[in-house]
Amino acid sequence: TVHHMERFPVIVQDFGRVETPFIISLWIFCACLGKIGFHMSPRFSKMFPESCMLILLGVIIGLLLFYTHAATVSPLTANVFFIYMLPPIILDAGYFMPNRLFFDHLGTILMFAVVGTIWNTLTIGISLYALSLTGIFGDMYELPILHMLLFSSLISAVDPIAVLAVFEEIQVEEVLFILVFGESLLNDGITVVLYHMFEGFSVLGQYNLIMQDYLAASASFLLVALGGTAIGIIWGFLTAFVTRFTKDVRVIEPVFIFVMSYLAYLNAEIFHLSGILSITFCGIAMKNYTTQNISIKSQTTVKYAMKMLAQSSETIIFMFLGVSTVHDDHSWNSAFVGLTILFCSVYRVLGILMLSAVANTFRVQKIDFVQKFVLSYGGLRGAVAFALVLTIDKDIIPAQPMFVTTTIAVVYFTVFFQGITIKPLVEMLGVRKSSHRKLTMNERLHERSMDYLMAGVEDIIGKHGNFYLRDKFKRFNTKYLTPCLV
Amino acid sequence: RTSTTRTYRGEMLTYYYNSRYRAKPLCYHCVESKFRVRLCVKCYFLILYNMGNKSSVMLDEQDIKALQADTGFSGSQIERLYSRFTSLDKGGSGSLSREDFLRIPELAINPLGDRIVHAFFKEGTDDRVNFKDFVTVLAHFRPIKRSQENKLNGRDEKLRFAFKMYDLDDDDAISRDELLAVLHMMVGENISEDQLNSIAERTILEADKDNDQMISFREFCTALDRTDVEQKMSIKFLK
Repeated sequence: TVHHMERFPVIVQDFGRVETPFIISLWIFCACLGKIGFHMSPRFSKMFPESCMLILLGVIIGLLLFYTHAATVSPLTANVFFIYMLPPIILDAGYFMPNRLFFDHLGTILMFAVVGTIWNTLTIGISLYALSLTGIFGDMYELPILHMLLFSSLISAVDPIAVLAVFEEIQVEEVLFILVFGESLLNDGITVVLYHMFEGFSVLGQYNLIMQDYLAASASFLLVALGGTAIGIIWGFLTAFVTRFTKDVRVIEPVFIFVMSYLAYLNAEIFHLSGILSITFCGIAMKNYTTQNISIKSQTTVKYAMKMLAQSSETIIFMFLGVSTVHDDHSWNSAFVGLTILFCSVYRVLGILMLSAVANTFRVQKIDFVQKFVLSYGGLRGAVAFALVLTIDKDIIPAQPMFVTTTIAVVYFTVFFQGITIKPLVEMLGVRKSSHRKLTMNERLHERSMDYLMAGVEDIIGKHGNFYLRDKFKRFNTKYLTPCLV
Repeated sequence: RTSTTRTYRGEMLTYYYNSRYRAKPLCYHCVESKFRVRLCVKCYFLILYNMGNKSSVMLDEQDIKALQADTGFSGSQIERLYSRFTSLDKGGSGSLSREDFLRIPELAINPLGDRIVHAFFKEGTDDRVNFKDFVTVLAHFRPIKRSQENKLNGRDEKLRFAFKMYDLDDDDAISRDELLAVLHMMVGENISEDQLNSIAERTILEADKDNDQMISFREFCTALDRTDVEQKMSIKFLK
């Protein structure tokens, strides 16, 4: 036989080498095209939120892939989500957080985020467990209460991405926005704790738990939330400090901001602390000082790069959410899905009513009926819940497929039903809209003098309120922080 | 010489009566000079009463009622403010001097501290603030309630208070110099004189509608039309 020798080819085809990045880029390309198309037709873009369109597009792509068996990349894994896609969005939110508004309402936000999430988790979990005893979900699942609570802990957290996506479009007034959005950001700490707690408890088994475990879980809550925040603040100040010395190399200024806040996120994640809190507070802590340190051009770069990363990340998440829903091991249980959605909505409303009644006794500006309504209606669930449910180990918790399916159903319900109806409802109820504008010289001057005035009045009546604390911080800031960091 | 201690809304106040029936703290009706204490009738009886009975209040029901009607505070808020008032009143004279205010450490370093204290003193009258004036001034910072009449704490009154911080000579207008004085206090040495001047110019130019180079109260209100004064100038007084 003549040895057939391959000559040097003119062209080779090697799709395998680039398959994954190629397909993913293609999807992102599709998502962006979809976005363009969506905004070209004003009728649709007025009626639906963008996130709905992206999920639908994802489902279509998923279906195409599923029936053609073209590729088997399952894009939205928990790791991809938590390590690559979540940080840009949260950094953007933290860096451009209206600090003053956020800290003015911090008490209320914390109450919603901490007490509200615990309330939702317990009530949803216990109600579902109680109903599961009646056999309403069929006898195929005999779920221990801990598994139910694990599920309810991930389903009860309000998702910052979904909230941002919907609320940026409807443009409600600042206070309402910061309440919903602040809650969705800060409840991450408690969600992470509850999730890991119930996961750990499930591994240990219901009957092996002793007092020590409960105490450890409560202690870990403080550690996760405060530790994450502290790491974020430290990295934020470090960033500010480093940018002091970048006068000669302006081009790398944005790099520091991005890389160091990402490091803050990863640093918190190393110890299973709350990465979201870490990167949020990193952004909040550094912003004032970095804007003074870096050039105006770098500021613009930071702004647009951050917005671009966050927007792309959000786009990809929603589309991947769509793609990931199409697979064949769904385990649909109508009663479970229906009741989960029902409990999520009902307990959210009850929780908000209760907590805002408590909050109102402390607040100058009361939360009125319309705000309560939007607060409870704005409790959207999203990709965080989905990513968390994917990380549940099937061997420990056999009901995981049902949980995944139910989570997807809840996410779809909140994003589609609540997302689509919230706009007309907000208009019907006459919720005040936000007005983004630059403050006039008069407003800036007089508002500043009012701050001093109010701080003074708080000193006189001997109350350590918001104005007093801000005044204290301002003094500390001008005396110690600013000279060090700027 | 007796000494009575009683619980006053959770706070321990010590009353000591010496041979001249001097009581501390005094109510705001009583007058104290260097040698003599002139007690109002109420307090006189109150002290007599107190000697046998430990449960009565320095501010009596009627005083509280009257202040409630005037200022809109609740009874318990007035009592709390009263205990703050007496703790500020180091001399035990039943009224506060400027020094009493400026003894509060944070207020003393507040850039507008002097102006704030000044707002408590009515022009022309004496240089002491009694409890009634104290509460009346603080009533400006009560949150606005829709269900209630807002005499002292309406939007206009709040703005008027802020306006007075600038308008020292009380001519119902903020001149360029008055504005500069406040700017000086607030920004300190960080900003140059030129910059301060141009800020003042711009501020007046922006707000001045009738071209008199001053900001009148009306113009001041218009300039802050879109500011949430109701919220910014309200404090939640503790119950």
